Amino acid sequence: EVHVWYLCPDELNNQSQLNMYEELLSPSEREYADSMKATMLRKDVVLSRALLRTTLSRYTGCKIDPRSFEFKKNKFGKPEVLWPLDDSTAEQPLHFNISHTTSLIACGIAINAHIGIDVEEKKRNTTKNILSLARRYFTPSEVDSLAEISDSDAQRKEFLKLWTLKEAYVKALGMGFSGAPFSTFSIMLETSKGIRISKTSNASRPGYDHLSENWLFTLAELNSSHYMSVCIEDSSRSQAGPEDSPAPVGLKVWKTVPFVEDTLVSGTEAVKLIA
Amino acid sequence: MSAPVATAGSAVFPAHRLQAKQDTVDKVCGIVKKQLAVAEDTVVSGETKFADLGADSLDTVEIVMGLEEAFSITVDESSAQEIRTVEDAASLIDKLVTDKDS
Repeated sequence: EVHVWYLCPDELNNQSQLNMYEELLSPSEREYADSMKATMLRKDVVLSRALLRTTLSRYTGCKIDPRSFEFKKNKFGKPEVLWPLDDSTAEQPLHFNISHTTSLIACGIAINAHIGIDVEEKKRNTTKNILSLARRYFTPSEVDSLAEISDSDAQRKEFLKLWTLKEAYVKALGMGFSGAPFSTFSIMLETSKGIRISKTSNASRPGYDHLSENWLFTLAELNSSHYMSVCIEDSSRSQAGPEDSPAPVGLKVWKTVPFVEDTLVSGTEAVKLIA
Repeated sequence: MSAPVATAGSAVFPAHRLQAKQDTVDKVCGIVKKQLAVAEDTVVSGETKFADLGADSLDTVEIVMGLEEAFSITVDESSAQEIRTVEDAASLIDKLVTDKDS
């Protein structure tokens, strides 16, 4: 099961609330926020760190104060929780990943499974032509499926869906863009087992053995304004035969104003599962 | 002999990377400003970090593609991943252009 907590920066303008969120940040996070010259970006940094810290705290039964979390980066730069070494809190198999757009910041949480999340505004335009981008970065089969779409707006949206799915996979793997170049794997949207990953022949070059295919995806439309893709490790099916479909990823989504209000939005019009 | 010391205002570049040509830096700034629709009064220079301009991964990929087109080069993913600042992009471009022409 995957839980996603998101907030909308445009709706959070109460300065005393923002100060409260800033209070949760570590000195280095605050320094990073201060290094942002643009006010909007600074606010973005504060909100995303506050979202992460308050979300993690929820999953420790609120026993760990949001301020207390420390983080480390894996050798590829993916952030992870650095659990304290004292006896009072056992290490917890809590995995997280964050994605931002200017209008929405989302934090995905999974227990015992690596997770990647990516969010994109549905109305986002690219400066480059969609098929040129796809030819440069995607796989031939993905280019073909995009080329079949004659309506340019529909094509652009399909590109964005594929983009978020591919980003979510790369972020879940945690090895950076170069660890899983987009041209080494295809997203297959409509298999009988839901969304699947398929490695391309490009990936049989040395160096890409870590590209695994046992990942589960979920793609949803949030608030009719954003596409959201979540990718988690499929650890459940070690004994499953080829006829068995994996259980769909259980997805719960909350819109949050940390410390003020949480609204469960999955199961409503606000979260429409695409696949 | 004492080791070189990095002081505020000076940059110590890794030995394998020479400072990028100003011309390249200027061209990169132009491409970046256009891609990110940067406000006229925002200063973009060699030191500017892409993250500071609010570039996300899709922006970065489009910028890299714009640079490839402008300079007739190909940037592989592992090099692209290392790019943090305009200067980084410009140095990489100079190197790729030199490699290509030699």
